[in-house]
Amino acid sequence: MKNWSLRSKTFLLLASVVIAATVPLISYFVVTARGLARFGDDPVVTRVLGEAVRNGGSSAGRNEAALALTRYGQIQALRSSIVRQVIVVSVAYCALIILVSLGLGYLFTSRITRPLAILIRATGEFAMDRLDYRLPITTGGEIGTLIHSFNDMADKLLEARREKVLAERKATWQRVARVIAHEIKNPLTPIKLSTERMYEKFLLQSRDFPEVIKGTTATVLHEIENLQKLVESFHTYAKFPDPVPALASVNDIVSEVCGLFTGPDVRIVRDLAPDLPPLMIDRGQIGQALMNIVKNAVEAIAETGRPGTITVATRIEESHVVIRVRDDGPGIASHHRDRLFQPYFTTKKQGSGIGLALTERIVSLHQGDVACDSTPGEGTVITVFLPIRFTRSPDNRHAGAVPGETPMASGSRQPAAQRSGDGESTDH
Amino acid sequence: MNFILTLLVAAKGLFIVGGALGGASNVAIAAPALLPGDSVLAMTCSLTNVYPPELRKLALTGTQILLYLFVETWDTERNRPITRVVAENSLRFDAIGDRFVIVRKPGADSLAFTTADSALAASSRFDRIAILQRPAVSSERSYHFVITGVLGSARIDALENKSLDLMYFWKYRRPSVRTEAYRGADLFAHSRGSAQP
Repeated sequence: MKNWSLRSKTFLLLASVVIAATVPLISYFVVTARGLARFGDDPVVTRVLGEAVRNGGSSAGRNEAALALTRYGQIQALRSSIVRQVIVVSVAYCALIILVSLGLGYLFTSRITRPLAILIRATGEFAMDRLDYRLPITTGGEIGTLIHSFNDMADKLLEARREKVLAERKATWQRVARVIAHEIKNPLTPIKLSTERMYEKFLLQSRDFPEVIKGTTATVLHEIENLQKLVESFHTYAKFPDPVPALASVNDIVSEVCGLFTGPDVRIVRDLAPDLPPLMIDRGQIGQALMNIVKNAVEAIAETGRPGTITVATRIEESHVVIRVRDDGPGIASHHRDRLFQPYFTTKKQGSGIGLALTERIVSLHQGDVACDSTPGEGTVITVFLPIRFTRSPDNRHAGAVPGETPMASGSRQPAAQRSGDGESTDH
Repeated sequence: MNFILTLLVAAKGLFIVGGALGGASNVAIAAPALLPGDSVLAMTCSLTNVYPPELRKLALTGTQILLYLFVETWDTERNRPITRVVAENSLRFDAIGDRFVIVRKPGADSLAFTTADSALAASSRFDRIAILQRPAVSSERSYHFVITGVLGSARIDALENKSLDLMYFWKYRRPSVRTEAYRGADLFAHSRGSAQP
């Protein structure tokens, strides 16, 4: 009964009240009818009246006795029919009252359940992140107040969301500016030193000026090349397109990516859950995100100089499809782990440091999350969480996204790895 | 007050719904016999199971019971009635005289009985009712007869003289029978003897 609808409960209440009100009344009528009908069942009355008719004194008296006897006999003859009629009429009346009450109850509960159904639909729209949905106020009283409060709450939520997006956007710009400044500063220093040395040697007319020219020019050109690569990766990250979702199997994507990495030194093991539902995701982007993770794992194992194993597992956990990539490489130091998903961060000699940042961006665009857990000397686990509710095509909320912007996703979990820049605290 | 109103409704409401309860009525018209005369065709017939127990009790109280017999003559080929005759038997128990009196119409015959059974049986019988005059029929045409029994209304003194439709006791079902067709020439005595349908 706890899960019954409001209408069902109201019907039950009405029916109980009507039955409780009418059944005793009907019983009273029937009992009273039977009681009164017994008046026609007294043989003494019949005998006395009969004697009065036969032996009564005057003609008028005998006529009256005959009439009384007739009436008494009629009650006796008709009492069963009368009682039957009382029962039938009472039951029919009770049934009519019940029907009318239930009909009225249906009408009245509709006036309550209809606005509640609209409210429930509105909360569903909110769950789909449509915060601009508003309810028309078509009624007063408590329901009208509730609708008014709902609309107020929606306005405040939308405003709060806008402020949060602005704040995140600002924080992201600041973070990106810090990273870019740091990455640009690195090649600028050798360029400046080389140019100063070259100029000094020129002024001094040094004998080794040609060799210095050669060396410093090579250095400058190398750093310029690094700057170009930086600009290129920045361009790639900034212009990353919004996902184009379509139903895709995560297991298929995992199998495709794993099939690209074959080699004698790395063994890739697949542990795929058979009951994964298809998700509305951009197959290419998710594949790229997964490829970045697996590629990182392969490169980490290669650095150890010994064979290793990478296990890629898929599971359903709570309301997410989870992809877990575990390697037995060297692991990541804890002070590096915090910056793992920052753009342009890398511990390798080569690489732009943009791969995992792109992975994190792709997963965020799909309203998911990515986390890292690592033990130095034992290996690393990178986990991607993709929400299962993302089985319907979401609205495109990220047109023209700012580089590094984390999309606002209602209900997305907090990342396990805290992302920070240059030792500053994260602003979440 | 509500109970009294319900009682009045019960009487005045003709026990329509209550009539649906209980068993079916098995009143029937038995053995109608045509009696051709020179200029008048007469008929004798009986109704069976006229008095179910409750109606019998009511009759014994002295309430007047009216029983009607409708006899319609139909032109078979044209399928339309040409005459209708209504006979009435009125039964009443006279408590003072301690006898049952039956008054028959048309004719205003009056019969008296001392026992209920004989009175009830006699009231169910209609003897020698004139149902058709010779000038009304054509010798060459065919005719049939539709006979229907109906109970009338009774005045119930115990219910403030409200009228009660006694058809309630027959479950509002009228017994009816249709005879076979006869040639007009066969319905009157100068051409042949009694015709048994």
